[in-house]
Amino acid sequence: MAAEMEARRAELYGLLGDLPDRDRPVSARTLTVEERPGYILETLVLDLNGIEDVPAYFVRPKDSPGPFPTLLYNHAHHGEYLIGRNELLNPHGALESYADALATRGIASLCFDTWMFNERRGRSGGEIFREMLWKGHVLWGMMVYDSIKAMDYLVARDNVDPDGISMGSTMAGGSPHSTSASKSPSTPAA
Amino acid sequence: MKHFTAGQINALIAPRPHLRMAGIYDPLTPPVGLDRIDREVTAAYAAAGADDAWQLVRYDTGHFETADMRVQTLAWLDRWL
Repeated sequence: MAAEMEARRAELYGLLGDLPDRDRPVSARTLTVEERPGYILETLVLDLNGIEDVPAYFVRPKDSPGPFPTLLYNHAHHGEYLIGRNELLNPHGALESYADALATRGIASLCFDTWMFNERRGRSGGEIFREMLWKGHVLWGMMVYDSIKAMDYLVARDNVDPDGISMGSTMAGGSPHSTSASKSPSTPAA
Repeated sequence: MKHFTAGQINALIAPRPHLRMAGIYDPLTPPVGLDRIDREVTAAYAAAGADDAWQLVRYDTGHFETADMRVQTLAWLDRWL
């Protein structure tokens, strides 16, 4: 059963198009560290794929050095490209932001701009899609790859509990969530 | 879509804890599709001996997060993280 599931996971991964090396190292540059009312906000630029920079927010609880249980938050589509990772910090209608809700409970969170969104925008989906096809990539697969590599980044952080990492999302963020969670055996998903 | 159903992809997450919430008025996740996913994933979690680690909860709403969903999400994280 376990071997069969591993084989199916590998099959699924193989359907994502040509991808950068699964084991290529990830790295981060820290742009700013700010104290906000409910949490500490790190603004980062991650190297997840070796092709383009990935802007990200890492939010951690105040008054503790960690290590923290941590949620990788995959942002939603929203029908437009301006929001991206800001969804983590913004209230959801009348509901408080996930950054606040999680930090209050002692949970850290990471959210990065997906291909085309927020600070990664500037080209149309069609342009990126066609360029990727030319190179053997599939936009969907590259989105999932970034998400898997973001998990690698979290596991490597000193103040993240590697046994307490989850993945979460609302709306369209749930689709890469399923695919990448099904490929990351150490990752509980909520 | 040629190789996997949505249920089969989600089943590969087993036995790790997995909470899904959906609005029954959401045209992207019609109830008949939710039924199918729930059937396949419930079977996978049962086979893995982790029945309580999979939960699909339906709400009388559309394609967005409600206050009820938020409470459920945070309780799930408190329980499993």
